[in-house]
Amino acid sequence: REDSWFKSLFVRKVDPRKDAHSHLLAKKEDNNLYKIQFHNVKPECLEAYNKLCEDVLTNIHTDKAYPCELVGTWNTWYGEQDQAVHLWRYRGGYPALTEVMSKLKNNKEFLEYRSERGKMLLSRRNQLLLEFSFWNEPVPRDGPNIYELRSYQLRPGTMIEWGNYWARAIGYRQHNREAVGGFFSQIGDLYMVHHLWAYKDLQSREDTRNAAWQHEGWDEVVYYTVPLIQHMESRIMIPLKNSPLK
Amino acid sequence: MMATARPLQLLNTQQHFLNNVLAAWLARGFANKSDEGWLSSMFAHKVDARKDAHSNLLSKKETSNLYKIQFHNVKPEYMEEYNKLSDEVQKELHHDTDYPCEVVGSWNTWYGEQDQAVHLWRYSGGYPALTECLRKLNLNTAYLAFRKERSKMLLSRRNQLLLEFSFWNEPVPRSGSNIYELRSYQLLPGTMIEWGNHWARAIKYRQENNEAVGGFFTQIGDLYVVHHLWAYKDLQSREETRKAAWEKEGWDVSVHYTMPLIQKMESRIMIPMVHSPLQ
Repeated sequence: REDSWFKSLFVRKVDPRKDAHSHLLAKKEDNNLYKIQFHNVKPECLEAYNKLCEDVLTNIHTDKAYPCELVGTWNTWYGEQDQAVHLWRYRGGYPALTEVMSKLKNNKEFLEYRSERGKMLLSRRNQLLLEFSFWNEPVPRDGPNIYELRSYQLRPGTMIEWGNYWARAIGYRQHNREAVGGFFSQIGDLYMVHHLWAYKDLQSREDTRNAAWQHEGWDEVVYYTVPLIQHMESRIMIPLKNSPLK
Repeated sequence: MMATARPLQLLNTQQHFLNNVLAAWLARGFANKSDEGWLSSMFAHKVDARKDAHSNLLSKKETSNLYKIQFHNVKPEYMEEYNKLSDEVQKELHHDTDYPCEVVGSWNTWYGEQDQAVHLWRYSGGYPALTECLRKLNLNTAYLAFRKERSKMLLSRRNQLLLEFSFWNEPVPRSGSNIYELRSYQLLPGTMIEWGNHWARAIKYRQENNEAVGGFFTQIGDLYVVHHLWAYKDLQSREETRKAAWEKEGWDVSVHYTMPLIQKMESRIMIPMVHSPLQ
């Protein structure tokens, strides 16, 4: 079907696609699956919770029998507070995830940790994510940094369009090594995008973001991606001691 | 005075109604149905004016089944205890022929909102059956004790009354082990008929692996919410089954036309509880 000038007047345009967006937008070659966890902790327990997580998460991370790694672990500083955010990578996709799960069920240390942790929590929420092919894979980095997690609730059906624009936009946002990772949800809330950024501090975040507007093309990307968003949220997060992203 | 004013008033009312319809059509970009020319073909989002409640047009009329879905957010430290207690009580109610209700399935959320139990009940005989159960439960001392015990373990509860789409199969018990995916769609109000029209066709692309379990829409609680329940052997098989749908001609068209009807969507992966008839 040919697009006429008339049809082009409508902002809400969804092109018919021929494949699942998970297939079109994700890194195919490495078959990584990510899990993001949001734990809302009882305010009086946050310190004890962090201490409890430190050892257990690191042990799972370093144990070669588990095909998963801790990408980063944080406390929310601005946004929803008294919250811990953990990002895990499963090398080998769904089978790796299932393997870890079934091994953890028999891991006594983990089960004890879980029941201890249960007493400190208000609620938990998680999502399974794939990474955008045009973002770099997150690798450990030295600190100190602050991290910003920008979460976008897109209008259903607009993921491909989002991907097309950001594949170009990401070029404008690498100058200060700020881009850490870009993900979209597969299970949990759908049509969610998470962009993870690292900055030296809040001032450097401000300067870096302002600098993007000096690049020709950035304004255009913002102009075209903003109408795709239903809701967006930004969290400033502080890495925990054991986080590989510091 | 009254006698002459009435026809005029009636005319005014009719004119007013027509103006409203016209304004609504123009606002949403509809063309006149009798004039389906190049203009109307430009719009993806087309809703036909309907002549009946969507609950009547879309649901299974012959069975008069009513469904209730319950979401229980449990205090994380009580999850196990909650499961044990629910298992016992639900099993009893499910088998008691005095109660015209059955447990269709009972799960814990694995991915999505965690520390959550989801229960799906069927009332054979519609609203009177629901009322009968409620009345009997209020006199059931064992149940009242359970409720009291349970309330100590809960953070919050939410429920919805549902009808099932006529073109989905009725959920029947299945043996496991399976994982279940509950996909919940918040539609734009007014688009349920259109959703039904597209899914009546789309459902046939999604049966090959015996994955379709049930399709429901809300009658009470959050409105214009659709729940699709799917079963898969595991997450990998889910991935492959869903990918295979894209190989079929017609699936892409269904996705293209249903996506603009959605305001928000959510997917939960759920693990069946011990007593769940859907395993």
